[in-house]
Amino acid sequence: MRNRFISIFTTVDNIDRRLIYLMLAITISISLFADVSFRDEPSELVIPIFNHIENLEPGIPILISMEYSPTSEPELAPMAKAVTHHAFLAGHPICYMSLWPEGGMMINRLTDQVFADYPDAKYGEQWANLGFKVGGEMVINSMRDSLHHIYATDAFGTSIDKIPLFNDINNLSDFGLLLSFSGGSPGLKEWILYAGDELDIPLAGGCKGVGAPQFLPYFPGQIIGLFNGLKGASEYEAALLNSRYSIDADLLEATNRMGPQTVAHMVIMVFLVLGNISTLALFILRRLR
Amino acid sequence: MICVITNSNHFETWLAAFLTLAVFSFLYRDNPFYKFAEHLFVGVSAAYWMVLGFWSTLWPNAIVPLFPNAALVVGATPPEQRDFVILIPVILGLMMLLKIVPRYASWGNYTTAFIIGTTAGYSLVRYLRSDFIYQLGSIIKSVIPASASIGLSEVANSIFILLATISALYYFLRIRTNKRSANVISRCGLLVLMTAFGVSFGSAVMGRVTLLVDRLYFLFSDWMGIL
Amino acid sequence: MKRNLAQVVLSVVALLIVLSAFLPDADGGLAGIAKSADSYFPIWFSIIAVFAFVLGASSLIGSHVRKIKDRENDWQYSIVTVSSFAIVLIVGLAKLGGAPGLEGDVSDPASFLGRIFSSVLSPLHATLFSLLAFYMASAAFRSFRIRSLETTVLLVSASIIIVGRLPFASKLFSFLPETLHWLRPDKLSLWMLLVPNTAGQRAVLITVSLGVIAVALKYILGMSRDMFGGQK
Repeated sequence: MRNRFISIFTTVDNIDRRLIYLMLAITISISLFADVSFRDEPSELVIPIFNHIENLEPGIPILISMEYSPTSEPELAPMAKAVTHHAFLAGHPICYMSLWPEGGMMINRLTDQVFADYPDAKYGEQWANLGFKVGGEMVINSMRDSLHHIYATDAFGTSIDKIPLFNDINNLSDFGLLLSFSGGSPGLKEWILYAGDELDIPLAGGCKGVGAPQFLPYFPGQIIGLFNGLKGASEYEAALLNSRYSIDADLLEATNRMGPQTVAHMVIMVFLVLGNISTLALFILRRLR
Repeated sequence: MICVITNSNHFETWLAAFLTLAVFSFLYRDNPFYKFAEHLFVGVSAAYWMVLGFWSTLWPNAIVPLFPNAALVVGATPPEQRDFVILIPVILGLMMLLKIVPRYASWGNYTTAFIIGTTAGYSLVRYLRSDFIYQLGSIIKSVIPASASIGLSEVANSIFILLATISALYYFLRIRTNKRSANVISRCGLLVLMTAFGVSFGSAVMGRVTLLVDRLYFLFSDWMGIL
Repeated sequence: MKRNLAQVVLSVVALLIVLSAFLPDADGGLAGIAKSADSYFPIWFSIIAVFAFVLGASSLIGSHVRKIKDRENDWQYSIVTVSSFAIVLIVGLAKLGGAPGLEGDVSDPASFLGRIFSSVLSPLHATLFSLLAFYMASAAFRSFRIRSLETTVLLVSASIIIVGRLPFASKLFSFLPETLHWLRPDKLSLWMLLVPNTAGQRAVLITVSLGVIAVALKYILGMSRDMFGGQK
């Protein structure tokens, strides 16, 4: 009997990794077809960002720096979308930029999608796109003194002196909030080191789930809030839905993606528990000998 | 299945789906489709970065200041005067390219010196302030709060953070003594770090799964059109 | 001689930047020079970084061309790298398929470069990294085992975070009385993030910052010259 159990648990212990892959893929696929979705609640990490935008006087511009590529787009784009919706509805002009080569495309994808819902939004007045610039933290350093010094034109080649949004913006201090959605380096860390701490202006950001724990020592002293992966985005969406703005729930991407995410989390938890049960069982059964 | 797949007739969607499946095929084992996708990725990425670097930085920040009429090529307004100072980074950049030619490679050292000098100078000041002084400041501020009206749990958390940070630093800095109490502090530090790494693993799971959900969504929705 | 001169350039550049952080704003004298350095050097750095892209790409393509010439193992795939590099370079530098001529955004999704990005680079990028989800699931089963006190702490904290991040985590254990609400997975995971994690990560930040400062000083003072050709 004992040998039979040992054999069963040894089989479980040595299960082919490809079977684990298949089970994960199948469960996520089923949850996608079942259209499982869950509404989140705002946490104390995103509420300060939401309140800061709410309390900013309308017309004060917000800078959104999108340091991510397709590798982290599914996690970070929903954050940038949620903040864009909020800033636009609250009447704040938005300026986009990126320190990543892929960021230019990411900005275009996001603005094409979000501003399609606001056909009245005027480019150059309510939003502008500075595009990508090479140099990482050195770009931030340059913008600290003068935006016009490093950005002669916007992403479309128009001189920024001719764009009304930049009439009252000389440097980073003229923004009411700096936001960096960062998939790595250069990203939020560089914005903290080279802008937030340097100029003492409100800075917040979003990062991939894997990076979030590293940014928490900066909260709440050096950053006012943090989007922690897709969950951070879905929490912000929940704050938006609970607010004075009327916003179509279908536009809120993170909330809709949290369903499959949740199912995958549970599957991984099952694997974790199963692995430990088999180890423990084998340990006990072998001791019994 | 075939009729389902013909729902999407865009060549680009098909190409994206093929490449997605080619990469997924690595989960079974290494194969020619994966190798093809991997090499394609390297070639396209390298060229993409160069193109973006050229049009977003080299053109507006170096070529246009040196040759103002170049701005007309992209439909922008030319600057009023030339900026010859920009020749310095351009020359440094060209010197860096000499690293390709072994005989003149040492000329690239000046560019390396400039890059490392800039990075070292900024890092020294910024890391000292943001990651050392401000972090120590956060610890002190949390233990000596500005407001007297904070709750018991906040005080307990602040003291916990203080002790945990000190023990983790103690472990990191490898302070080794024969004292039993010192080893206990060091071991507590290791446990604090293990907790932080566990938190990182738990958080990492979410990110990677998000990406996988997105790829599967693409296959079922954009490509097959069945979602 | 050249190596010494390069070291002088490095030290002067770094010291000017360090001084710019401490000296008051002024137009003339050392303060003025440091201020100008702080203003100009970042832009110069950006321009040089583009040349670094060129250097990196030429080294990459050079190695693949050599592989093709020497008919090394899997040389056929190197043709894919070299040809895709050449095509994207031409398409991108000529801004083909976008706005007429060279006007318009290089990242225009309608241009050929934009379409290559969406149909080739984007799926490859995303799928390569999504493979990690499978590896994490496998690691959760195979490697995340209780073996010692340290691994137990690692496992418990990871589990609390995974469960606590479920959207319905606040509903789990909702039967607990008000005084024990801190035991709910959502509250517990937030506490883990903000308290023990902050402490651990703060220790990492402080230690890394000390390392960065030490390395920067080493370079500025000329105690390490490996980057100039491997000699001390």
